[in-house]
Amino acid sequence: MYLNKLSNLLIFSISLIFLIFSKVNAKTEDIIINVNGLIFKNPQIVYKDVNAKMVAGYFELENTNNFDDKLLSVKGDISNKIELHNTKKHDGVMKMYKIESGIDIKKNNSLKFEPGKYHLMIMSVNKKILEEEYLLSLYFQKSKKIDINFKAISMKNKLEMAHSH
Amino acid sequence: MRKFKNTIFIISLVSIIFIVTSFIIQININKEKNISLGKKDLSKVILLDFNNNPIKALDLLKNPSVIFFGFTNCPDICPLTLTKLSITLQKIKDNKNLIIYFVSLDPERDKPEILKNYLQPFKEQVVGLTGSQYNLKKFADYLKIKYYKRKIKDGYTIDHTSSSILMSEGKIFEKILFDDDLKVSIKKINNFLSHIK
Repeated sequence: MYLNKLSNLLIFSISLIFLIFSKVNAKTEDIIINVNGLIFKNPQIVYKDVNAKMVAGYFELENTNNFDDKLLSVKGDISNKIELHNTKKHDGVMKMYKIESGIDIKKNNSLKFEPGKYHLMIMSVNKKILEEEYLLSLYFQKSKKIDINFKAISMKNKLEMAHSH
Repeated sequence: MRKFKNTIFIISLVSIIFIVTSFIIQININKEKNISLGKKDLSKVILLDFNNNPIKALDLLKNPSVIFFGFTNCPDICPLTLTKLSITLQKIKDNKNLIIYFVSLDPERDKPEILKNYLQPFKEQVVGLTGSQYNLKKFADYLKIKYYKRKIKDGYTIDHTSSSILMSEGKIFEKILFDDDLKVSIKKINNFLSHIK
């Protein structure tokens, strides 16, 4: 009887630890979306504050297909002006420019959209940004239209998360 | 005996390589710190803070501060840098109330009230500065900040130096680079704070 109670308590404790551990892990888990061989990792919209009129989109893109593709443009309800941008550093000066001709994503290759490098420039944002998901449509040369949910995250939280890893 | 000589020779060679490498590394570290300033005379340069108060540039450089140049229409470099600096100071307990100055390189669009609104999320931690094109140019040149106004389809943008300056008693102590993460930024500011009176 006493042993039975002890074993129940033990099972309960282990389950609780497992639950807590899985919750902690869930917070830091990567978001991975695979659409017809194109893998999108951690699609995020990063904003300075809720009233920001200009925000940036970041993600990792992997092309597991056996053909090259090209990201041509991005559209979404959040703004009618979303552009593909890149930033290059020369002599300590950051120069950001719009990419008109699209971004190549070679077969079996990956590409990172991140601060200070390739990024989506979302201008004239037409709503308050909340920590929720925003649907963006990405148009590729071969894979055509792919809808991806981008999770909005404040710059503060993004930096803090990177720091805690 | 010959074997012993060879061993001594190898040890000496390794020691020399080690000393020379350390010396080169040291030179590079020193190069980054105490960077020399431009030769422009700042005595007549007056800037305007985001509350419309005039501030003498020379007075501003006396007190310990972090100075970053940018513009409010900057898409990701400026907001990311300001956020990083703000978090960095929050993580340092004894930050001696270090002020972050955000100097606009776009006085045409960044009027004091625009700056005030833009910096509102950082509360009192970041002070916005603007001024005339002439004064801002002199101030930027003095701190060896490079910037270029560039035409784009819908108007113009500004390419600018992306590092922040740790300044005290009119001297540049060190720079925080755009690629420096929070850990490195905290280390640099802590080192800076330990050197200021």
